[in-house]
Amino acid sequence: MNYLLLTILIPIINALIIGIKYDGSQEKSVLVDLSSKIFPILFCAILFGLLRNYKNNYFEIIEFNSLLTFGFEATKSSIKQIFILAFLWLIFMFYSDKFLLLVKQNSAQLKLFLTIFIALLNLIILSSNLITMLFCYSLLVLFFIFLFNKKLLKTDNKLSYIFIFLTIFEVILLLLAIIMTAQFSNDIAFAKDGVAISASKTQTLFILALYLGAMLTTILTASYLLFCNNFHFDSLYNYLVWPLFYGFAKLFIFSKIITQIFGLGLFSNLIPHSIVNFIEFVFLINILLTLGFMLFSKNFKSIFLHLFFNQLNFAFLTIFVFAVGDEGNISNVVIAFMLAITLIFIGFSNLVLYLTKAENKDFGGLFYDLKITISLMIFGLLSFAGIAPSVNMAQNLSLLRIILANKSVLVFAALILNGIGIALFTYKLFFTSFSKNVANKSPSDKMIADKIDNSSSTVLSGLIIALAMFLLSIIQFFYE
Amino acid sequence: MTNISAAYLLILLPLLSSLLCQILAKKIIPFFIALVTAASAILLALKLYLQISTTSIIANDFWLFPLSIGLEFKISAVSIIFLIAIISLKILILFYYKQDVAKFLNEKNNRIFYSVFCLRLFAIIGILTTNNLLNLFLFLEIYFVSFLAIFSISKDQKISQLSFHYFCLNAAASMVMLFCFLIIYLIFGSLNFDLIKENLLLAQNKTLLRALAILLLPCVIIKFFPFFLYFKNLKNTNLFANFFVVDTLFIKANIGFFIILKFYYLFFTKVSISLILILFAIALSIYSAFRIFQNKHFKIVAINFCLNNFAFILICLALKSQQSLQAAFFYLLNFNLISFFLFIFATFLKRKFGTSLIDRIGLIVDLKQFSGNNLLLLPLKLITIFIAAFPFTFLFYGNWNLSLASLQSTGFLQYNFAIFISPFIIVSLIISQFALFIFAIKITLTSFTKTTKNDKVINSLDPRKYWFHLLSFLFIIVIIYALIFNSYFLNELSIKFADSVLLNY
Repeated sequence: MNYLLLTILIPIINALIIGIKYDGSQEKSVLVDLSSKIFPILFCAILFGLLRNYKNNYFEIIEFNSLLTFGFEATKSSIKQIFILAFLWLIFMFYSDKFLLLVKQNSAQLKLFLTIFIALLNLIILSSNLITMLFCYSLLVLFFIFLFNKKLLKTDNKLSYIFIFLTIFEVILLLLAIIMTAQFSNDIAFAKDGVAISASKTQTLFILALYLGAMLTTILTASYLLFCNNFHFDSLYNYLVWPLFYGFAKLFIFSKIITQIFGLGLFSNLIPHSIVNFIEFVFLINILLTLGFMLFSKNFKSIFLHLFFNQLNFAFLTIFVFAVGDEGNISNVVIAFMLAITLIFIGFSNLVLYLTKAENKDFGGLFYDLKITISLMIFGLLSFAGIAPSVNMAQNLSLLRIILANKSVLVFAALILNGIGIALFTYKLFFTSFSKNVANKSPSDKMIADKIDNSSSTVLSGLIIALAMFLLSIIQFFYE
Repeated sequence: MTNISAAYLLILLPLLSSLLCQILAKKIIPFFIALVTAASAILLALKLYLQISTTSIIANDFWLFPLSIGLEFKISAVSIIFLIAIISLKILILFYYKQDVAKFLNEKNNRIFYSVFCLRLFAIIGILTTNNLLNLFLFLEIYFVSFLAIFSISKDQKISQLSFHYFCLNAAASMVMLFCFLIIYLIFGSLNFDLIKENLLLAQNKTLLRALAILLLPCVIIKFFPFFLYFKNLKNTNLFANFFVVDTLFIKANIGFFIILKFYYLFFTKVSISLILILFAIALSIYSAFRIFQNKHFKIVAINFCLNNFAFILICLALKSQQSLQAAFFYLLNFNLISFFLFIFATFLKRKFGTSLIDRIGLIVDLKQFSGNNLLLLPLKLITIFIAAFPFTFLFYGNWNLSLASLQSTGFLQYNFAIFISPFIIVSLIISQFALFIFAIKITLTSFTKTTKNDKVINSLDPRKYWFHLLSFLFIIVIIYALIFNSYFLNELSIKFADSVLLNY
């Protein structure tokens, strides 16, 4: 049985089924509900088969020449990422069912978007070379922009489109970077220790600059701030599909390019110290900027996006520092980020749902009504701060070790400010929720809180993620 | 059948078919004659291509004395590729306009239409295969004069005026061309391309070459790239207006590319105008990219898409390296398939649904899942990735090869400008890519949106009335995807194309 082919096809078939059945109406479809539950489980089952049979597992669709092939390959590191993807797919499908019942949303449409994102991310992870990855990433960007225009942005704020233009520009830069790589190495397939780029140091630096531009332009120019404060999403669930998966794709591609195109050895010796400092400085500024917006923003929904971009910046910085220091497990940064942001998303969406439906929107004493939700959120936020016992803490300790070895003042500042900032933010957000001296909430509000907080989807999804984060930290401590 | 006789048959068959269309003029017989002629021409071209793969050239051998002297031909891989491309387009146009022609024309005019179709096919094959300057001129004149016959049956005052303007310009261009060919004959004493090329290489007088080039260039533009005529005729929904634009934009342009390829490398081996050509092409690509980005009308965007392709073909020809000529091949393929599809789809929307605004395309979709209207948008959805130049599309292969060619700049080694020109080419690629991506996004937004009950749906015709057009669109899509899934074969073909140009021209 060709497990690789099945791994590629399952999300695509699921997306096709939902897409064909979806006719724009709000009516529930049995086929859509059934397929959206069966396919993630099937996907996970197939992955175990792939894990046992991944060696020499290559699948090619188009061959133009020896350099340009459209093919997919399963490697040990890509299987690890796909397991995380499968895990998230299961979590979101399970969580969304109950959430959407409460919200009365068009579940078929949102499941369609989610499945398309899963399918495209799956293809990106399994790409055997840069060109295949570019094709799948371009599709992802096209779909993301489609959602952005059609489903998410309701206000006509022209500045928001700068973010879109920069996203397209990033795709073009990625193409240029790949062309330059092909020019100087005559090889664009991913290799365990990188491809041999036979170019001068200046030319290699130029290629690296193109890759960095392709991945980081929208992040480092803080262009997302142009729309963060000027939108209103029609459902918090819509936050899920684009920032979470857009972030996942970028982090994954960034880490893959560093490890399997440049190779950690080359990367760590390539960039001059002054440029490293400059890049770290830009990351630090972005982290501070987003922290500021997070702490002082009054719009509860946009706080989530500020937090997302804040931690995305920090994740990129961590990958960069690990790569320059030739130390630390880069793929774990992606995993840690995705788990923590998913956990926080579950908490945020529960909170927003409660605040939308409840009559009394005061945060005072809310913890006692939404114990599980707020606990999960605090755990997630403190994980980002590096305080809670999770994989993020283990990662921050690795980061601290590199900082001390290299005496990186800027990274140290970023680490400390990130920790303090997130802790302050957590305190600001939830301090009043612990207060007992508040007016009693109405029975209807208590019922809403109970329904949201004690729903099996929240409990199971959140606890499983938190447990996974804890277990991964133990694995990282003892085995890596 | 020997190769020489196959070549003669290829050239003369359409002429005989043109006569047959006049004689056997009942009902749909002329259509079938034209169709069978075109199909036979492709089969003969393929037979010749198989031979050219081994011998590289097929030229007439002068054993058939009068015919050989009258018809000097030399067929290379480049001629065959252009031949197959143009005849395939002609077949597609024939199918696409079949229903409209049957409705619009009476029996007499129907006969004239298909007879002229075959005559023009004869002229095209002659242009692409001839090795003689006078024959080339003769076939060019047959081609352009026969075109005017189409306008005589168009019954449209605007088209008649336009055709008259075109006739005047064309006549002037023909005079100048004949004058230039006469000068060449007087100086070199021969009309054979091979002999002329040998003598040109030995010629010391660069002034003559420059003068000839200056005279011939506007003639080529008027004869093969009269874009100003397209823009005057854009809003006309008359059948012949659309036919005129499609035929002029695609068939003439293809012939024009072939002529440019032939004459550029003939006249400018020693005197280079590559830099001027590249700068002009870069300006054109940026202008057309800007128009694609800014415009809301599908038809205008489709034409600018063609112009953009054209600009990059010029850059590829100017760079004159193996890789740039491979890129030219893919840009030509993109021009003939993707640009062609976009254009006829745009004209179809305008004629049948009364709109060519990109934003309103989605409104032709009604609420039924598998209705004809929904099927109508399927080709447009499938072509989106080709518009955006995603990897593994024709435009991507062209951009890839052109980028590598401009970085290598082997054709430019003797010029100091090589270092400066590569960034400009890359920048023009970036700008074009950006504009095309935005265009693809607009198409995606409009064609992938399901309407709700409150949206105003444009009333369409009964889908059964345009099933022929729908089949044409789907057929083009099938060809496109079949070619993409045989990218290896395309790459081999592009290498052959590039090798043939460098060897023979």
